[in-house]
Amino acid sequence: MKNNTLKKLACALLVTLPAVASAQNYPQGSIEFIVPFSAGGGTDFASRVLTEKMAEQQGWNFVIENRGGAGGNIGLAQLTRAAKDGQVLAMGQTSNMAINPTLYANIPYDALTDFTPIALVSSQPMVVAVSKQSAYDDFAALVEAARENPGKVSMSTPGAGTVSHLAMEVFSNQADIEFMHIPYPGAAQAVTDAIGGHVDFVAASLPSVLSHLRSGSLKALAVTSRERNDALPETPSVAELGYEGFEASDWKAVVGPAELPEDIVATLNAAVNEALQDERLRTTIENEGSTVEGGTAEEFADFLQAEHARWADAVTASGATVQ
Amino acid sequence: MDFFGNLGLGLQTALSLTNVFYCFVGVFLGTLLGVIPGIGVLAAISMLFPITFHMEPTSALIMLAGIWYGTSYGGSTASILLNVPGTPANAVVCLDGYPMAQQGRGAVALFMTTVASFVGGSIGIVILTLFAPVIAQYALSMGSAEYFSLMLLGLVAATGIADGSAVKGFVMVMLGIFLGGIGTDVYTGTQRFAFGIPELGDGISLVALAMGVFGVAELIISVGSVKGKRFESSDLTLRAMKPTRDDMKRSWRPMLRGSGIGSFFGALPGTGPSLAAFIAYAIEKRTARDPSRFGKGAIEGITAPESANNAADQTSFIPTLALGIPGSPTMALMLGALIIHGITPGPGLMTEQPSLFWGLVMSFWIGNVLLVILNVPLIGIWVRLLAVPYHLLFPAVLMFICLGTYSVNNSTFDVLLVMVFGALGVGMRKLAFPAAPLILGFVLGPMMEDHFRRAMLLSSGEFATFVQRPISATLLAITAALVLWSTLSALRARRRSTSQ
Repeated sequence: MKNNTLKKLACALLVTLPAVASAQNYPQGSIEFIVPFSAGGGTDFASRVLTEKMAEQQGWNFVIENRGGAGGNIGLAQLTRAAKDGQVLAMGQTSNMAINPTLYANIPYDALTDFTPIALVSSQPMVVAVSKQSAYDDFAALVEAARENPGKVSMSTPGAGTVSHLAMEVFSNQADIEFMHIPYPGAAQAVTDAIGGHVDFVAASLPSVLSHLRSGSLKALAVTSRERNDALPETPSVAELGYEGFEASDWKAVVGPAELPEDIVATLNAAVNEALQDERLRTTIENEGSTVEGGTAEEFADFLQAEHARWADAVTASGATVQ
Repeated sequence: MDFFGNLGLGLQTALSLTNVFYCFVGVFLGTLLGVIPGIGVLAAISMLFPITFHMEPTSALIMLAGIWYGTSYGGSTASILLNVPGTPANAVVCLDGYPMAQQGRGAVALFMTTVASFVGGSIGIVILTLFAPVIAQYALSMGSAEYFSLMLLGLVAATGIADGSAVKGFVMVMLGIFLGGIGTDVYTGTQRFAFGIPELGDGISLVALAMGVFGVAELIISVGSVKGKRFESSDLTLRAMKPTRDDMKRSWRPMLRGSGIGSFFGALPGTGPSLAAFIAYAIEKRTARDPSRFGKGAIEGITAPESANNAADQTSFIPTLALGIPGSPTMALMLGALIIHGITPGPGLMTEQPSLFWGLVMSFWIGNVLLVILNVPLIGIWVRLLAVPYHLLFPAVLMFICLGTYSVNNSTFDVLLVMVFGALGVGMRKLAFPAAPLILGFVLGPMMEDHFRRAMLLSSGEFATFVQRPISATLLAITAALVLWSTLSALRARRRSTSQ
């Protein structure tokens, strides 16, 4: 009897499985959302804010799974093993989709073919900031100091191979200067030592320095986005200071496993964009210092291609590597 | 507004019905999470994080903070009763707490850790209330050279933490440093001893190590040596909780010293409660008239570290609130809860958001009082746990250890590591290698390396940087004096024993 029920159940499952992968009856139960970083970081924050809003608007149920490790590679690798029905999604970002493929000697996926791009969620520029007591009043003075004393002006970053580090490597190459790179295990310590004046300046994402810029313990000299940022209207972008075309941002985007059916991608993309329209969610993301993105899945796919190629060059030029 | 006006405003905010409720929810959850081995406060707070979007920022912070300092109250329970630490910060309490439980004084130990926690927490709050801005500025002046010298002092001070052979203790410190070195080198990205395993590239989790060598090892060892009756029913009465006059007399100085040490380490970003507890224990043992009592149920061995980790819990809010600098990922989440509401943590917080700042600080008092009210009656229930037969209790504890370790990073690899370290722990116990120095080396080693290399980078390779900077030089001088003093006293002891 019991055996029989099990067989029936198995049959029922087999029959329904192919039907699952269509938008009409999507999603089937709760959606597993992989955050490839530990709880409490920026990616975790963005994922929780976004999925909470999507759950509220669509009536879906999300289960967040923090699966950190190896610069975000382990969590994304887990996504490649998921069924192609959209029940498992992940938050990809600049490091694990555009930088790590070149930075890491061994990476268990191909960022361009192993995933289905769904939607860009948010982005944040890097900020070059100095302590309030610093003698450097503007970005040009900092660059000039580094030009006169190559390798003497110290720069703290959240780590070797992070977006902040590589963005400054790209800049140094373009400006033909050299900073003394002091990597830290994470943004908090890098920022702290800049406030304390132990390093000449810090390069870190806007959310990690914004509260210190507001409270006045740090001064922003430049942002790495192409345009100025709304949170720092007074701070010039690196590009407008004469380094044409310079741009670096740390973005986050929802991705699914490869070969996700088109209608499910469309459903998910619409849901993400609807969530991103919400006034409250926008304020939450902007308060943190990020910019709300959104857009179609195709736009994100093209963007990903471009970013992948751009950061590959940056990594190669910097000589950084993780064995 | 004057100081007392601020305190009044804070009390008014903290005593509102909603805030007292959230404070209770926080400390209750914290106690539970602390009692269950392995389950970390970070996982709990990040799960509750989205709820805080819809709450008043003050209430949200009061609740999250309650979880944070509540775990330290609950964390010593399993350390004392089962020799399984609830959190890494309570691991050192195993050393004397468990022997006390074996002597039938488990209830006294639990009561005294609650008292010690309250004393530590209170002193931490007083320091936070009176000196936050001053201390915060001082903490900022600590660069990598200063941190290195401080860690060196800590390591030297803590060398005598374990009983028995000094050589074995040294070997364990070295093994700890080695285990701490596994992972990706911050400066070059080179993988050290990772054997191509991506999980090892991020280093070994402290929770996995502490749960393995203390918790799992204890369970395995006890299976081989089951005694019949482990408790007397008289252990469970209220009277059994009452400490002797001697207990009180021995405890109050260690509590004060522990609170001081804890307040100091808590205020430094990046150090925190675990380190504070270990150093406090080591200092008690060093300054004790009869260090041989330690490891056999000395009450100082539980009160000092418990005061220290609770004081550190409170003072770790100093850099977080006064500078906006999170000393740990958990503190970063609390800052996040503020930033989401558009509040800027930092020097302006006290003047711009006085009701939030002082309300939070005053809620710490309420939370600590609630914790005492909550924990004292619970002691009877926890002690009763020992009445559960081994064959039911131990599988349950083992399951919780695995669950807790898994919850830190949702990693099955970490669960495997717990088992590996459990086996290592059994081997260490059989060969009488102490576990505490291993944890200490594991915590301090990588921090020392990191700060040493950064100080050298910043000084362009000048070793002199460690003595040219006044704070660093002072710390090194104290370290040298300590080494000299211990060598001399060891020599004197030897001369005395040979002349007899």
